[in-house]
Parts: sequence; structure tokens; C-alpha cells
Amino acid sequence: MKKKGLRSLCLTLVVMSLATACTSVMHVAAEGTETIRMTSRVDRMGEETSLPSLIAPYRDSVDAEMNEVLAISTAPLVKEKPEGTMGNWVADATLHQAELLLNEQVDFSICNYSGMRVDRVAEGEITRRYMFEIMPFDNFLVLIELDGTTTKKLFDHMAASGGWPISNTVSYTIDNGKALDIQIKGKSLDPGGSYSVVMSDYVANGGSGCDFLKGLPHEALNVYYRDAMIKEAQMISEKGQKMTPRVEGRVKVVAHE
Amino acid sequence: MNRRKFLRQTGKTAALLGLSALPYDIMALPETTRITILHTNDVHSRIDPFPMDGSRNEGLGGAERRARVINEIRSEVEHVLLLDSGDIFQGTPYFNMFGGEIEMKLMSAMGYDAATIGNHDFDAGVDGLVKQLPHANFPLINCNYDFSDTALHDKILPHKIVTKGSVKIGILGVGIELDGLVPDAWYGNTKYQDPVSHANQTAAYLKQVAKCNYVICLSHLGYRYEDDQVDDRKLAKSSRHIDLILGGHTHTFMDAPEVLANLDNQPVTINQVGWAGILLGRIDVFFERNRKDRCITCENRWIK
Repeated sequence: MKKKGLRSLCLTLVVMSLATACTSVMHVAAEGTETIRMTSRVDRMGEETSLPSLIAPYRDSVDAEMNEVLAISTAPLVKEKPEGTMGNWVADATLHQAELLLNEQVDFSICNYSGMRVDRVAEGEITRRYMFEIMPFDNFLVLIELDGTTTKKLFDHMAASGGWPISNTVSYTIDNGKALDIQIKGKSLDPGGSYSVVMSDYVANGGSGCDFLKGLPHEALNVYYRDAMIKEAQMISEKGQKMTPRVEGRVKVVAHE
Repeated sequence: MNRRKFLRQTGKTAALLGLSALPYDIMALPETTRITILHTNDVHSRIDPFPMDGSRNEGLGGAERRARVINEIRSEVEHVLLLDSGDIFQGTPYFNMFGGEIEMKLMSAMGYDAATIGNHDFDAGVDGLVKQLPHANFPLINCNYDFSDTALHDKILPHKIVTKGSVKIGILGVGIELDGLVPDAWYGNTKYQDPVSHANQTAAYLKQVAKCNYVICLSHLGYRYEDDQVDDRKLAKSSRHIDLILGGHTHTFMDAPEVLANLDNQPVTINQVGWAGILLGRIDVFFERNRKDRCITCENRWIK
């Protein structure tokens, strides 16, 4: 690498010992490592490759389908723990779409944190592409009925991993990885109660460490999780409104010294 | 000049040159072969650079760029190995629309020698992965998934041996527990088996039977977990015969590779380069003909 601008984050020279392994013909004398950042500085490096012509037809198809602007967002969508604008918007969108599909009220919606695959989408035009990149998986939206004890487990699981996206119908506090003060539609969680929850079939089938949900019956809503998000954005636009993602204290964290 | 001093001076020279040309004078020694290992992990269908939209990674990555850098390095050094540690698929509409076809075609065009399988490479199911294999001119390597009862039977290699100059390099691959991570229907009858014992068995074969000089493990286990889930660090410490672990899954941007001692107190280097093709890892390994008096004492030198 000759251009200074390409310099690595690190370069190490590691001298390796094989003092006790001198039986093979060739042995390692040294290792040098470097990490090369793929920035625009390398765009004109070397000669043109065959890649642009390979990519072009695929990119044209992707652009034709994915550049459609679905809605305008007044704020960036940011993936954050314990609570971020992206997760809040996704949870609210899926809750709303599930309620429309079911034609009934649902208690709350969750999304697994690692299910959202980009860290940040800027405010302004939200294209179909961004929805695919936030939620690339072909997971389905499902409704699951949980008893109070399992609901508590779910909140503890979300708390243990630092906070997952939840809809604005619920709130709780994380204290040492446990969920406290769980409020569902304005009432404290009732261990003897029963709650309707919207999530992806991936989580309902035990994904993201939710093995305690595996095997519980759930109702398929026959719509991709991502498509519910897309539909919500389109409906917001159709009403002449904008997406207004915000952080509002759904998840609080008790600070310990 | 003794070897230790020689290397120290080489390091200093490299630092003065801005470490740019990897100007190891060691290359001037007779019977020395340099193998340049280039590697990626968790590229996640990032064909194009991230858009300029204020996001953390804006303007970074991109396959065309990576190809140019790889070609440039190939023009500078004789022996290049290009490897990927899995999660080739999933993350942009390219995968949703074309199922991984363009990812495989681009990696083939770049001249990848091998890749291992990440959990997201099952995202179109076992059949979806099978469907893309004809677009890859490089093998997918894994030794701890039992595919015998799946459509991937006979399509995944447990290891690959590459000879570069007079150096024989063995490459093996290990994958993560799929239960709870990948929907059952997608991995089907793929059976996860203990990666440590399978990696060690395969590495022993590569070193002792196939007489490889160097063994690389492509891992999609993840770099480090605080609990007892197996990771690259635990694998390194419990291993024999593995020289280098190129990791993935945890999207870890390592400041520098980590070197740990294996069960035989031999060094194992671990490296992982984030995700999305933002970085290309480069490890130059210098091999020399064995002479007992040339065996060197261990010294790890970090130059920043």
C-alpha cells in the first residue's frame, strides 16, 4: 500500500516463536498485520476491475425498486440502548399495523435489538431501501398471548440485554439487568394477567435467546415484519404527515456506582 | 547481528517509512517466502459503499473498492490468500432480490480462495445456499456442521490445502450454534457439533498428516463472550496446530490482532475486521527454511 492516506488503523509486527516445533520444513519467522480502510481514497487505486459491469444490472434493478421515498422523517432513526428513535418507531409501527390487521387492541409490541441491522438512518427521505436495511429478514409479524409470568420473563430478558425496542404502550426500568416497575397500558404488570404481544416469528420461535417463548402458540398475521413498517410509513405519508421518531423514557436505567 | 535485533531494527525502519510498504528486509534472506493473507468477515451483502447520509459508516466499504485494493496487493506480492469468515449474505436489498447471487459472483471475480459459513448464510434456507454455490468458484469450508442429511451434503469441504511457493497452508472452518440463532426451518437437518474438537481434529490432520506448514481457521463463532459460549479466544486457548484464527459474527473492529497461547504454549493469532467490507485485513506471514539455530525466541511487537 503506497498511498499514505490508506494507512492502517494498526500495524503490528509479531515475531512468532516456533522453537519447539522445528520439525516442519518451513516455519513462521514473522507476521506483519495491517487493516486497510475501504474509503473513497482507494477508488482510483490500480486499474479498473470487472466489478462495475458485473454489479450494474443488479444495481439498476435494486435502485428501480428501492429508491422509492415512503415518508419523510423529522428526526434520524437511531438504534440505541436502552431506547432509541429507530426501535421506538419500529415497535410503534408494528403495533399499529397489527391492530389494523386484527381489528382489535393489542397490549404491546417488541423487537429484538439485533433484529435491526443498521445503526442510523438520517432524517428526511425514508426510502424503501432503508426499511430493507433496517429489517432485511423475511420474518413474519405474529401475535402471541403471554401469561403474566412469561411476560415478566420477556421483560427480564430485554433488560438483561440492555433494552430492546418496545411500543409506547409499555415502560419499565432496568436495574442490574432486571426489569422493574413494568407498566403495560398504564397498569403495573399483573403476574396473574394475560397480555397480547406483537413480535416477529423469529423471536416467537425462540430466537435472540427467547427460548422461553418457543412452542407457545402464536397467531400469524401473514405479513412480513418489514412490510408492516413499510405500510406504516406509507399510511403516514398518505395522511400528509411525517414520521416523528423520538426517545421518550420508555426504558429507564438505574445507575449504580 | 542476532535475529532479535534484526527484527527490532526492521520494525523501526518500517515505522520511519510510515509502515507503508511493509518493507521487511527479512525478504532479502534466502529461502524466505511471504504469504499475504487478506481477509473479510460479515460483509452482509454490502455491494455498494454506505450512502453519504450522515450515518456512522457513510462512504465506507464497497466491493469495487475492495477489488482494486486486492488487485494492487496482488501486483506487489507473489503469494496472496483471500479468505472470508462468513455472513456473506443478508443486509441489503441485493440479497432480498437476488438471493446472494451477486455476492458470490463478486467474490469469485475478486479471487477468494475460500470462505466459511455464517449463520446468515442460511437466511434463504439450506436450499437457498445450495442454489448460490454454482456462482462461487471458491469452496465453502466447515468442519463442525454435519450436512449429511441435507442438500449441502458433499457440497461443503471440511478443509482446503493451498500450496504457495514452498509453503503448504491448510484452511479449515468452524460455525456457530444454530439453534436459537437461525430459525429451525432454515438450517433444516444441519447438525451443529463441537467446534473446538472438530477444529482440533481437522488441524491435526492438516499439520501432521497433510504436512501443512501453517493452519488457518476461518471462524464464525464470534470473538469474545463473557459467559461460557465458545468464542475465538476460547478456541485459540483450547487448540493445537492452529496458527491463525480469522473470526467473524461479533462484527468486532479489533485495534490489533490478539495473540494467545494454545494448549502447547504455541502462539495463535486472532483477527477480525468489523463488518460490511469496511475493512480489509492483511496479515503477512514470513516463512523460512528450517534451521535449528534460526528458531527465534518469542517477542510480540506492536507498532502504532
